Amino acid sequence: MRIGKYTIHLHPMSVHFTNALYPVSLLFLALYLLTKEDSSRTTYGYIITLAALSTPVSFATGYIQWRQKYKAAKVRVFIRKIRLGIALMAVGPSCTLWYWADPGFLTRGGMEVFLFSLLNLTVLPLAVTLGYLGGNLVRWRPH
Amino acid sequence: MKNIERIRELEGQIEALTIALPEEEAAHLFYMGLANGASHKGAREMFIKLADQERRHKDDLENLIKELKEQLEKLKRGEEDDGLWEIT
Repeated sequence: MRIGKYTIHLHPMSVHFTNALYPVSLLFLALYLLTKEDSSRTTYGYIITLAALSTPVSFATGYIQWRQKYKAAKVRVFIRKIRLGIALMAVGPSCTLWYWADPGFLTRGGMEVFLFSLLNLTVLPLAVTLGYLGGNLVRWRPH
Repeated sequence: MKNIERIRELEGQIEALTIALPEEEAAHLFYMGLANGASHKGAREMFIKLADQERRHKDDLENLIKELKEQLEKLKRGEEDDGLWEIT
């Protein structure tokens, strides 16, 4: 992204937050499910919220870079990144909203917790694939 | 089937060139920046020459992308036509 004479790499900067926050939130969810420590559950709630808030920023900066640097070229790698980015923007906030609707539900266990955990896990392949595709763009390798 | 493989090959080539294109632009701007900052006449001329090379690379890539896109369009049209004939 060009601002005056400076090139600021906003997208590579912002995605590192998103791609770090989601796995860390999963770690704290897993820690809670294993240990039942309330502090892990609370930490999960805060981190997934930050991750969900960072996702549209990462998407927007990526979209702007696609339009500015690559002239909105509709080639496979960008179509995949856009689709996966939209999916992540749906899943991340869904996990966040579900959690904050009733933070105590995790303590009750059962099918709801199982489904919630599965939804959270779907974030991982999305974030990993987006990171992989983005990394390939830096040093172009076909995929 | 061959057409589908050729279409995929062309799409891959267009993709690679599209991603390489901004790098040529960035290289051109980089050398022009160096040229503008160079106090030595010989260095300035060299940087301008390098910037010019990068600009030509960019033009070549743009022309190649355009050519490949035209080939791709022709192939896709040809693929659709084949499909219609098969049905009837």
